[in-house]
Amino acid sequence: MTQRATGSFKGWLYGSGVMLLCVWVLLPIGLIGLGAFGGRPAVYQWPKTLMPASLSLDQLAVFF
Amino acid sequence: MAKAQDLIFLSTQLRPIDEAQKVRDVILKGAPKTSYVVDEPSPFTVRMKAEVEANKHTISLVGALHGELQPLLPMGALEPIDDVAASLKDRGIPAGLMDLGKLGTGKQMYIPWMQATYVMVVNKKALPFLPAGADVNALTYQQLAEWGKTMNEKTGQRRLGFPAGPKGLFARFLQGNLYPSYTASMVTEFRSAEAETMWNDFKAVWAQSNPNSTSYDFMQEPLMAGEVLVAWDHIARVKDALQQAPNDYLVVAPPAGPKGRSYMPVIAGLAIAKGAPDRKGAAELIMHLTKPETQLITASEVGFFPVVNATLPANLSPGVKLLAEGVAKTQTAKDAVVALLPVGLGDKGGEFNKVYVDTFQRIVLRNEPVRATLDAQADVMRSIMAATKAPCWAPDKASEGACPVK
Amino acid sequence: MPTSRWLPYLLIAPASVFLAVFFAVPLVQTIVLSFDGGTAGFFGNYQRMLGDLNFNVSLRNTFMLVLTVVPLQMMLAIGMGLMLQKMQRGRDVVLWIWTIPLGVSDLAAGLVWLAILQNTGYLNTFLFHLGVIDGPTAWLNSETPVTLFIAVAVAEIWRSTAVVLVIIVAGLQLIPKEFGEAAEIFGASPWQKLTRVTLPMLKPSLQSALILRTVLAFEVFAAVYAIGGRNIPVLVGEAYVWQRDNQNYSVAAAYAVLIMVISLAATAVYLRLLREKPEARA
Repeated sequence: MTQRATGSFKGWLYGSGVMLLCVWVLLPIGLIGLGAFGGRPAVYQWPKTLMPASLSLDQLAVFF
Repeated sequence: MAKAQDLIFLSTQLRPIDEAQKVRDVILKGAPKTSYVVDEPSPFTVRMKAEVEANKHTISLVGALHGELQPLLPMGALEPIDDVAASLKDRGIPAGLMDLGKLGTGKQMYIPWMQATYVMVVNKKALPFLPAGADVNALTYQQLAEWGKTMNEKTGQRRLGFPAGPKGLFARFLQGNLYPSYTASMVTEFRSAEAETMWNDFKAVWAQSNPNSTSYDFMQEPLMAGEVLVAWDHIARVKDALQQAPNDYLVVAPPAGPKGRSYMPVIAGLAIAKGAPDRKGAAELIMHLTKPETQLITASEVGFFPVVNATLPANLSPGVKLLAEGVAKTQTAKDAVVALLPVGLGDKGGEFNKVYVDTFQRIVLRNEPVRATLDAQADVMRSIMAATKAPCWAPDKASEGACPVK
Repeated sequence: MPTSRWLPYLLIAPASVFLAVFFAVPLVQTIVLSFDGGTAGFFGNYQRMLGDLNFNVSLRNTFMLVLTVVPLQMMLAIGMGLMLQKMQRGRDVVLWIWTIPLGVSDLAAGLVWLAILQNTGYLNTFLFHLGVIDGPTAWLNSETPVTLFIAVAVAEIWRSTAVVLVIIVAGLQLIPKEFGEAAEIFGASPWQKLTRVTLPMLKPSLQSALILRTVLAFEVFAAVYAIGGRNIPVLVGEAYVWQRDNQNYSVAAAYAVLIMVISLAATAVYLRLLREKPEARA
């Protein structure tokens, strides 16, 4: 392997490490954010879909 | 938001946000201007005590379970309301219930507000797996275990469910349904031979119960999810499932043991706080809440049943109708035994519940020997009874002084 | 001048009064309460605590969580800090993303992970689509203590690594570049540079991070409660149950005092182990 190839492999590894950690932090928040619009039925929906099957804004009424 | 001049109605019942909203929007419609405030039982007691000790009163009307109102009496937080009792004589509240409201004094301390009990909810999908010869309306605990076993074998999952989570009412099942059905007692026969049999029988029931039971608080959720097919709980905590799909469920009396089919009636009462800023308004509010119309609205909106003489209308929503039938079946079962909510334990009510839950945890979850566990837990029970000097309540026979543990 | 002599005391007075009123007084009250046993004698509440069937379990769970979570998140945070240090572009954005969990309350973090890990959660859905499981599978009950423990540990690591990261990033910025460059000139490998230059220089930050995280980890509660209910008892959870459900404030106070003693002991251990020798200080 040339010096350059090792360098770019390292850079790739490094970049994917950073990306992976970003996903680790953001994914759970994203999932619950979407889940919040599903209402009660979404809690027990099986199998889960990324967008809950029962979309509604009712849950947000709690804040008003 | 609460305005300073509004009458404050503090309640430990109808706490979940949608129920509280129904109280505010529907049940209190036409009543004097009220801010309805809810609190959990333990902070509720603390708040009442704080108001007495600080002698600064904000709360006028209090709504809570019989057992939660009881400790307020020695604190001096309750106002006698014989005048209110006299003015609603024609409402037809049964004398026995009114007597409970005297809390053992000569004066009326609270007015019965609404009642409920604990029942079993059965998803009709479970019916084909009933053991041969078993009647779903008259089950025994052995049959329940057998039923659960068949469901497990046929569906591949343990389908019985109990609310043994942190906010579940599982302690009430042990005290009000299981113990009296086997021992005709809640306290005195705590470590009896019958209790030993009972725990061994119940182990078989638990073995067929969903392992998530120790996380369930309200059984309506696992019922709606289909995770559980047969569940025990307070009627208000299964109502949503029945409302959502009334055709899918039956509501039946809890199982029976050798000593009968025990059930625990739950009575919530309305009391006026001593030093209430608005005693007159609070009395008017009691009159409003015990009107037959309001009582029927309460039943259909939140699933607690009338204490007054009011016939449930035929157009009741199907879910509430199921509940009403279930309650009736429970109360009128041929072998029915009444077990009352613990009385006279004051602030030891929590530790009393802990005795039952700890015993369950040790015997059933940790598989400790039944005899030794019962003996050890009976000591704890004795010390609670000695500390509170609470005399026995039904189904235990009346005692002189503290209720004994044999 | 008298003003200048009194000025420092005057300046710390508000903070001291605040601490005295809102920390010292309740602390003393708690200690008094924990010895107020009524009929049970001076140590009655402690005896009840020690004799309770969940005491040993909760003590063990708490220590195991601390011993698992804190080292893992220290390593993770150091790794993240070093990555950030090397980064040329987008450093601020990545730091911002990585510190988002700082703003999430512990209960909310527990609920987030509950949504992922429960029976009908996202993890099971994912495993289901992979064909690993054939229906909702329970990971979080008393019959699956290992997966439950892992779930709680993951949630705790997710939630609270950001605190350590912030301290470490600040510490790394304080290390002069010349040290690293000098090491490179003398032919140190990256590993040697890390263990001989960066980590020793980072010691004060590591010490603060360790003390902060360990003390907080002994107080772990809300995330555990959200994910496992009482299936995985921990010390603070037991204090909560004694206070709220059992309504025995004295035993709850005994738990509180025990947690405080453990936290103080852990702090003392760290201060001793990571003490900088006076002669090492230039």
